[in-house]
Formats: sequence, C-alpha cells, structure tokens
Amino acid sequence: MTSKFHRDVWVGAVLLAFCAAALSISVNISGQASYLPIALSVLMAVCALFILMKGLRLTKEMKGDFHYTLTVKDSKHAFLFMLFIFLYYLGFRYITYWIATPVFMILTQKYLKVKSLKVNLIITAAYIVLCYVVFVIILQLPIYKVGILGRLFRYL
Amino acid sequence: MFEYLSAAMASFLSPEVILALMIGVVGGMAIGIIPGLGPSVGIALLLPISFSMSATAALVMMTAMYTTGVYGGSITAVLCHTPGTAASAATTMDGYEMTKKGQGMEAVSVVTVASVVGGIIGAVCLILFAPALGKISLMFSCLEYFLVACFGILVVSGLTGDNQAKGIFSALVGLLIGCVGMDSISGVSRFTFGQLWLEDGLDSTPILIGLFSIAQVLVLVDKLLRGSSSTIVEDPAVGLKGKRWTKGNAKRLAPNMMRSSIIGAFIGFIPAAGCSIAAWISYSISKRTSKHPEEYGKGSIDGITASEAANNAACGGAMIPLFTLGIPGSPVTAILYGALLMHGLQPGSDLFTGEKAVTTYAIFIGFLLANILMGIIGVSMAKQMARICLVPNSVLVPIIVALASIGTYALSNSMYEVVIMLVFGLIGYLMKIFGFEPAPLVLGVVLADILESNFRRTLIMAAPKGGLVNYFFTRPIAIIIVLVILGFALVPVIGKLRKKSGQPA
Repeated sequence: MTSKFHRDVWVGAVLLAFCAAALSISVNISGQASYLPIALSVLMAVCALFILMKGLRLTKEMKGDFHYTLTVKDSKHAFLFMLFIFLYYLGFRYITYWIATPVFMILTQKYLKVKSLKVNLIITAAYIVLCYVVFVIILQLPIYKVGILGRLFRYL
Repeated sequence: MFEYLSAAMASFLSPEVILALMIGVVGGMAIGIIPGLGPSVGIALLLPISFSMSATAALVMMTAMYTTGVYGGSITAVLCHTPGTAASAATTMDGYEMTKKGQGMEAVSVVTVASVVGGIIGAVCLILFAPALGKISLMFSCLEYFLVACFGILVVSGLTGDNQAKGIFSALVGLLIGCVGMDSISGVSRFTFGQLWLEDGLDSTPILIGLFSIAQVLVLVDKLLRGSSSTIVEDPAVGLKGKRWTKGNAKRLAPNMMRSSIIGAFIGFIPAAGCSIAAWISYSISKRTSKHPEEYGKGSIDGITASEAANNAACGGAMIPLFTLGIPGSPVTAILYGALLMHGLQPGSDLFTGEKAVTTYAIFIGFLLANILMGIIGVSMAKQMARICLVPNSVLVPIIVALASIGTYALSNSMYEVVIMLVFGLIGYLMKIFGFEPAPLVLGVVLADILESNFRRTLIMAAPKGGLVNYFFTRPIAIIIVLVILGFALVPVIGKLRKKSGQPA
C-alpha cells in the first residue's frame, strides 16, 4: 500500500481527519471565542488538502521510487529511546529526580555505547553534583516535593 | 538614547549580568562547536534556567549564545570539514582547504577576527537602527499589531523546505494550541476537555524545549545507533598548525570584512533570510569582486573572511525586526521572541522608552560585549575550544534529557509541564520525519494570544467606523503591511510560475 503512494498523501489524509476533529470541537465553543478556532480549523484543512495534492503529484512524478531521509520504520531506536525517557519520567515523578537521573544516565550512556564505565560514572556524578548546586542550592527549587524519596534530598 | 545607554552600561556592574554574559559566550561557543546541536537547542535549554534571573541577565545570556553559537560552528567547519551550524557551511569550503595546507591556525584566527568585526558591526546597527524603527511601531493600532503578527507567522512558515503548506500548517496548529485554555476576553474555556490544569492554557516554553531539545535528542540517538553520527573522532586541535597571523592580513582583509559585515547585517534584517543565506551571498559577492576568484574553494582567506563576517553580522541584523516590530525571521529569533515575552518584554516602541529601554539597551550592549569576549576566548583558547567537539553525542544525549526535565519542572514547579515537554518532543520528532518544521509551531503558540486579542479589539474599534473594511482603508500603515505580506507571499509563487513557463514542454 505505502509503496503505491507518496507518504504525503497519507499525511494529508490524517491531517484532514485531525482538522475535522478540531472543527467539530470548535463549533461547540460558545460566542466570539469560537471564531479563531473555527477559522484555524478551516485553514488547516486547506493546507492539509494542499499537502495531500502535492503527495498525489509526487506519487505521479516519482512512480513508486520514493526516498525519505527519515522514516517511522527506520526510527525504532529513537522510539525506543523515547520509551526510556518516559520510564525516566515515571522514576522522576514517583521516586525522585536524584535517583531516577543517575540510573537513567548510566543506563542510557551504556545503551548509546559509551565504552568506559569510569567515564560513564564520572560524567553522571559530575552532572548530579552540578545540577544539585544550581537548581537546589542556588535556585532553591522545591524538587524534594516530587517523588516518595524526594525529601531525603532536601537542602535545609 | 545616550542616557539609556549610560544607564544600561551600569547593568554590567552586576555580577549576575557578567556571569550570564560569560555563560552565554562560553556555552554558545561550545554548543556551536558540537555538530548536531546549535544555538536553538542551547537557548531552549537555557530558557527555564533564566526564569529566575533578571530580564537583562537572561536576555544577555541568550543573545550572547546566539552570536557565539554561530561562531563556534565555524571552528569545526575549518578544522574538521563539519560545520557545527548551517551558518558555517560556506566557511567549510575554504577553511578546511587551509587546514589541509597546514594553515589551520591562521584560518581559525581569520575566522575569529572576521566574526568579531561582523558581530560588532551587527550590534552597532542594532543599537543605531532599532530605536528609529521602534518609533514606527508608535503609530501602530491593534490592526497593525494583528497584521504584523500574521506577517511574522508567514515569514517563519516560509522556512520550511519546498513545501510551504507544511510550514503554514505547523503555524496554524501552533495558533490552535495557543487557543487552549480560558479565552482572555469572554472567559469561555476552549479545548480543555474538563481538565482544570489546562484552563490557564499551555505555556510556550515546555513546548519549545520539547520541539527543539527532545526532538533533536531523538534524531541524535537515531544517527548514533545507525552509525551515521557526525561526531568527530580525530583531535581537531591537530589541525591548528602554522602561524597565527600573516603580516598585512589586516590591511588586506579590512575592506572585505567591512563590506561583508554590512551585507550580512542587511540580509539578517530581511525576515527569513538568516545567517546562512547572508554567509553564502557575501561569499558569492566577494568571489565576484575578487582579483583572484580562482582561489575561492581552494583555501582562500578572503572567502572565509566574507562568510564569517556576514553570518555574525546577520545575528545583529535579525534582532532589529524582532525587538522593534516583533517579527522573528528565523527559528532562533522565534525562540528569543518567546524569551522576551516570558520576561515581560513586548517587542515594539515600549522597549525603547522608560524603564524597559534600559533593559533593552543593556541587552544590546551585552550582545556587543559578547562578540568582543568571543574574540578574546576564540584567539586565546582555540585549541581547548576545538576539542569540545570530541565530546560524543552519547554523553550529551542523557545530559540534555535530564537538564530539559529539571529545567521544565523549574518553570512552574509542575510535572504537567514535563509531560507537555515530552509529548511535544515526540511530536517534534514525528514532525522531523514527515518534513514539518517546529519553528512555525512555536511561533504560533507564542503569537496566538497577541494575534487573537488584537484582532478582536480591532473588530470592536472598527464597529463604529463602518466595519473592518472601511476602518482598514483609513489606516495607511495597515495597507502597507498588507502589501508587504502579499508581496512576501506572492513573489515565490510568481517566481515558480515564471520558471515553469520558461521550461520547455
């Protein structure tokens, strides 16, 4: 299927569906506050149509020989890393930044092929110390309020 | 103006401002040197840290990072044939050839001097011309502010490759995101889906950090693990050979430096042109007017002088429409627009009168000093600075994620902001995959409130004057802005049509 059409055709179709959803929500907003969202939804739909039409034109011109610099299929590493970031967020949210961050940094540096464990640990420790000094001691950020172990790292 | 300038100079007695300037200069050079990053990522990361600073210190730091980031990118362009930023691409051609000939040290010295001269001329243009242009905005009513906001969005939308519909779509989505929350005039909730935390709307800073920092991190991870990373593995300091400066260079290069700086400042002033276009145009003009055009591309010292003076001068030029009319002409200036608003500085005539004028001139003087400081550090620490590019992306990636997370939390001590940043990080990456630019989206979010409130005030003002159309024709500046918008939108279309009609069937 995907090889038959340039991907901008699918992108345009998805964006048109998004515009339809935005428009249906916008028309239910009362009074003058709905003017801009409605106008934007309509203009977005016009742009989505242009994207779709250009996709069709490219489909015709390129005859199935499509080359993309980045594709969803080839981006599995990036999406997996996004999952790591999400897990890191959960650690930050529910444990504490000061435990989630070193764990995240050590593991991701390993995942990203930093060979020396010594370098890995030194960088992690240096970052944590610097970050603690800047955000907690100087900027007095109440980050100890986040996560169940946050209070263990409270300064003063 | 002079009383504001002298008061602004007094700001530099504050340790906070001096420290901010130093961080901006050194941080900008470092982030410019590292391929894959750039001033936009650096400034996006600095935004939350700057939140607790004074407006002067914060903006001095960010504008310093802007100009020094452009310079930093040139060091790797000369020594490793890898431009740190797009603005240094023109320098690569002759700079690397000089390094291959064993003249790396001289090439870096010329790059530094040209960048400093260009940066200073750009800053002087900013100090001299911005107040004069700012006075024009005194004549603006809501209608003109609305039209200028539209123009800004159109300009930044045009930065998207060859598919302008994608750029405009991004900007419109940004405006729609800007509508989230309680309407400032009628108090009606929009797109909040019953969530109380959405009533205040979405702050542009987490969106900006997500789109520029997290999305870039994902790109770097993908490149790293697919083995196509541009990380430099050989020591670039090895290329710093030969003498630092040839006698007579100053006299020989001065006219080229001055001309290129003026060209750069002028091109920077034109919305959407930017530093890299300034560098290429200046390089091309220098080649055309040179007595030895055959040397260009083979290690010409005039070539790197032209491109480097122009790209740094363009930074100063690009800030003129930003500070005076609120028109950002590039992704970096779009981020700076958000930073200005975050610190309560609304671009326009207000920035050049009263208390705010002192802050504005302090930012301009900081920008000037950043260029001078950049030269001093660049000349004295070239070897050490060049080695920064050896820092692998595998080390930088986790640091950027951790710093972006804590920085975003620091904005309003809220984990919701971190979620928004992560969501927009993913959206930003998907946008990169499908060929959409993040800058128009960010600008849309930043300008949504300004655009809508001014339009609705215009409708109220126009009602007793016979409606919007009649009111429009009583405002000559509005007519001029509409003509400029039409010209800006139609010139590329006409160009394309002419090109098409010129092609044989």
